[in-house]
Amino acid sequence: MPEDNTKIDAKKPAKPAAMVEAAEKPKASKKSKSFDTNIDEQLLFGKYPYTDIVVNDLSLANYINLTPKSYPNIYGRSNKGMANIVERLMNKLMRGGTGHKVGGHVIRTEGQLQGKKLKVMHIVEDAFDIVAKNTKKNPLQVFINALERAAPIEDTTRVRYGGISYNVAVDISSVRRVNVSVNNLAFSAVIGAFKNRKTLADALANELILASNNDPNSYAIKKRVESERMARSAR
Amino acid sequence: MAADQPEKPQAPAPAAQVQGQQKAEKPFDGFLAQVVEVVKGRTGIYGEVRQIMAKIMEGQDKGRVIRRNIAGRIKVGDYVRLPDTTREAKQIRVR
Repeated sequence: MPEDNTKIDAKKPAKPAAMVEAAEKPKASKKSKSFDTNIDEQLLFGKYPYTDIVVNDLSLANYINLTPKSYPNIYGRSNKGMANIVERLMNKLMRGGTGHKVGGHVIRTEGQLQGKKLKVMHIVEDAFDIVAKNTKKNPLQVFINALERAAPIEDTTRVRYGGISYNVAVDISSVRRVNVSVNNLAFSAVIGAFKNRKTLADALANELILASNNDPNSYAIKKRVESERMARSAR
Repeated sequence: MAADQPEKPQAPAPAAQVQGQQKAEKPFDGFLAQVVEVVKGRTGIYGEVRQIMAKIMEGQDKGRVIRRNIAGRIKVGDYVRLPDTTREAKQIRVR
């Protein structure tokens, strides 16, 4: 990659030429495996490139953060918008069950994942590996497609006009659409892996593939269709 | 109000959206619109709904500006997807 080498030269002109050559030679021979030298070269989990990811939905494009990070973590030092989208999926997976009833039961796991970001990171990595194996695509692109498909555009709330309250259909802002979508994708993985032979990684991979194809068997897609149907009747 | 809007010069698209402007494989539901103004005040029992003026960018009503209720954090310049472009929200009364 000649372009990258020129970038490095421009950044560090003060280095002696021999050192620069020594640093560049192995890089040219092997595939880009370095994690910290150049931001553009960072691959997700050291495997999946960020370069050719496309967000097709214009409304969500501004709120899906795709800054290249090999192991995305902001250590809770900033807000949601600054975090890589994969990190937000991890954060939503760090939970000890569902907070409310799903299918008649509240799911309570034994708290294996609460506060354990590294463990979740490996789970997401495994899930992405499974997706890559099954679909032969970049799993990050599959995840982005799933996000776009699972994001609802309409919801209902109670609005009061002059003392009388109605159920009114409201549109959803793009920030909230991403939030809801990520949450539902992670939530369905927790449900799918509970009291089941499936691991959490299997369940997550399954959900991502289903949702990216707009398959109604996916939990997140079901939720989107349900909320939009209720809103349509309340217009 | 609606009659005046088509004459307005179309705002140039912000440079930040180059990523999303590539050809979509499958079209998405709804019509794309851009937020022109966030109306002061809130509605909804918990104050979770805001009103916006949105300029429609797709479909029959392209270029028209309509008033809509919207849930979630919003600011001027954002893009939203409207399921339909015919309805218009009631104006908020400030007491």
